[in-house]
Amino acid sequence: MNLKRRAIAGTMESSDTMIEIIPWEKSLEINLKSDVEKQYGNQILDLVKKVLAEDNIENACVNIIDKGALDFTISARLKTALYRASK
Amino acid sequence: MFSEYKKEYIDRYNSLGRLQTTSFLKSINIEYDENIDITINLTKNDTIIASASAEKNLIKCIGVNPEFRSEGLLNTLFSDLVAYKYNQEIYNLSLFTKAEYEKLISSLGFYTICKTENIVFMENQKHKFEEYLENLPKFKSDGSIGAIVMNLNPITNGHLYLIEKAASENDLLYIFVVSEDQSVVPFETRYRLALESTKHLKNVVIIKGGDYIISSTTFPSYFSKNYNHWINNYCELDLTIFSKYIAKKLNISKRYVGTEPYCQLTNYYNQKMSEILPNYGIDFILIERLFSENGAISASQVRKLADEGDFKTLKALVPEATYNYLISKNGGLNES
Repeated sequence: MNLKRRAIAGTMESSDTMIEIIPWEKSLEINLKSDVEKQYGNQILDLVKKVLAEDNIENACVNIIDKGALDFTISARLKTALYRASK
Repeated sequence: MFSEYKKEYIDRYNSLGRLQTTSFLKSINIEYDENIDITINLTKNDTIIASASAEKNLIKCIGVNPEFRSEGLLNTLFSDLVAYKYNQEIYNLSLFTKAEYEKLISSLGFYTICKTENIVFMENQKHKFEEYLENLPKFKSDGSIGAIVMNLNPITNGHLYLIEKAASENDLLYIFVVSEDQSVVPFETRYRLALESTKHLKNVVIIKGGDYIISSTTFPSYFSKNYNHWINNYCELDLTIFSKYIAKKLNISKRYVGTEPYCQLTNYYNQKMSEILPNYGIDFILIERLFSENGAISASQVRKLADEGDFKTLKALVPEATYNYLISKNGGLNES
């Protein structure tokens, strides 16, 4: 997948997550802010990395503001943000 | 919660909405700011219960009715504000808040850039400030390094006098030109005239002030001329960013200002400077402003003379580059 512009998906409502993708030449950077970071931070990061890897995204800044979303929500928000960024 | 509350978007032209927002905010001791371009409110039974606004990229006037706090209403408002600004291609949002709300705002995607005793300045772009510092042109000097922050709207002999004086007392002098384009003379022109007028000074470096030196980002009231209780906080914050980060990065040990006979706000800012800079080992140096026969030379006086077409008087007050610019802008009609 080829990223062309920055894009955002989701909200900061409870149980949702807001994800922003910024095309970036440097490397892959993931910034996570989560209300459940202590308990689930690593799990969220693993999930995000997995989805990014599926689309071969290696150069991007991914900002995640998580409000306790479930895995499938995070995955859906991320895919939507990627899709928007690639349009 | 979605069905319970209604959401309304209030733009500049919705005077009724702005009036209602003003009175809601007033009830929780927040002053609505007339420069706001978008307000998003949540209402219940047609009564506002939460509100958040923005002026360009600055989020302002956030308020929630105490009865509805801890319902996560800010999450809704911030989500919408971010999305709204995103549509306008405004991505970097910033805000000022009190220390007690720092954690809450941080959980909404913001990072603390700088804080003072009274105020926290936050941005949602994690690396923007770091990048700004990295991109400052750093020149090497083993001797003393001075700095002046100037608007140069446009550069006059008064400015030049201050620059020459500071340049003579330092091995290297940085001039930060305020880059906010809210002045009569556009930034590119102010910058160019400064370069041309200081060509003879080999140790002077003219640089763009950017977003973190007296900009509408770090010092909103400077441009709105809206005197309020935040002024003190804005001054402190702007000067702390300068002292703690910018001056440190560039090894600046002195900051110069001219005496200010006209503008109350600038005077106040200078006063704060004299208090804050020494805490960071930076000398505050006040230079008596250059006087002509008509009093202290100021850029506003120069602009007035140009408007009146009095180029004869003007010629004695400005460097050649500024003179040529003002004449050409006027079509040279009034040249005597």
